[in-house]
Amino acid sequence: MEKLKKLKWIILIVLVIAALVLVRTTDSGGFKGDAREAVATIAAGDFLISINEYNQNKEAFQVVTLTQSENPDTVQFENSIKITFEKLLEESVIQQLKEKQIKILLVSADNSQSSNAFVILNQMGFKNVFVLSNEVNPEVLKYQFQPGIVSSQKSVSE
Amino acid sequence: MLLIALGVLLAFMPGPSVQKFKLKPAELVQQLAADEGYFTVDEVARFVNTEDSTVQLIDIRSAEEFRKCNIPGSVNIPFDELLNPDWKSLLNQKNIRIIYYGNDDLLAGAACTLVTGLGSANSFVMKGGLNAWFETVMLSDFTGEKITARENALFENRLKARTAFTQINSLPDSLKTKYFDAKRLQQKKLDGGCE
Repeated sequence: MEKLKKLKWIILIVLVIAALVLVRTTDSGGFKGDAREAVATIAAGDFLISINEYNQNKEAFQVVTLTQSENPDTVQFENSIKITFEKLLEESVIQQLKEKQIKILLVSADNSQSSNAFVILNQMGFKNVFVLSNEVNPEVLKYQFQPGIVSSQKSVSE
Repeated sequence: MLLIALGVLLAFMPGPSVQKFKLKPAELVQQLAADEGYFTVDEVARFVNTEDSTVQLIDIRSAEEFRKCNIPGSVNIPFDELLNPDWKSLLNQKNIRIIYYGNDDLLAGAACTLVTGLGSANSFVMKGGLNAWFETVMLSDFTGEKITARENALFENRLKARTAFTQINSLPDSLKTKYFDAKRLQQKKLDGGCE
């Protein structure tokens, strides 16, 4: 009887510890990634695919077009999966992305939305996601400032 | 007993130092989709003109790009240093709206998403980045015979911001540094901080 009582307490403690360990190790909320890896990837520009690269090898990509719900599509790609940003995490969309063994290419008329979607999917564990860029480096300043003068970079180089 | 001790250790030991998002994916998407996470260039110009102390501009470009020109009042945090713990207190202030900008929207959008996912509230993006600032504030001009009151107010706002931008960015580097240090000191005094 005494032994049984002791055993009961030991089992209880073990169960509590097991629960705590499970909570610690279980994935919380769906994000798996380390944000620092995303920062390094983005800073290096490794998340961008140029339009030329896409055109040279279209079969290697599945385009996902992020549309604005209230505006008509301004970006048209063949065989693209069209979704609004709000529906990015719908089960059907995530399932399609998981099934695709090829590179996922995010496209949007709004650059900020593409990068938002990239960060979210990257941190959920999708490492085959990229953003389509119309320009070689979209983050280039197109203007040059000199005291009293503002000129376009294009006219300076011509 | 050994197993129990091991279990306790495992349960309470600090986890690996991974910076994981605190928000859930659906929460983050909802927050970003609300489309309230942006300020237009004209709105930022107004903040600059009124020296709004509830706003902090963050320039996420490189230090060299920042040195060439930047929006008055900005702090430079290059994108690859965004998660440096030294910036945590600046980027996570309750009553301050943090507005990120780059040359375009791509990096600023990513920066905003990253810090929001990690739990910082009040993060925004200046729509269009510095390219939009130049197009809207620095190069815009009114052409017409008549101007409405609204257009006039808009033009005045842009002109004032243009003047501030030109004045600050025309300073030699040594004076620019002194100007920003003086501003930071003044801000610290207003906040009740020490020198």
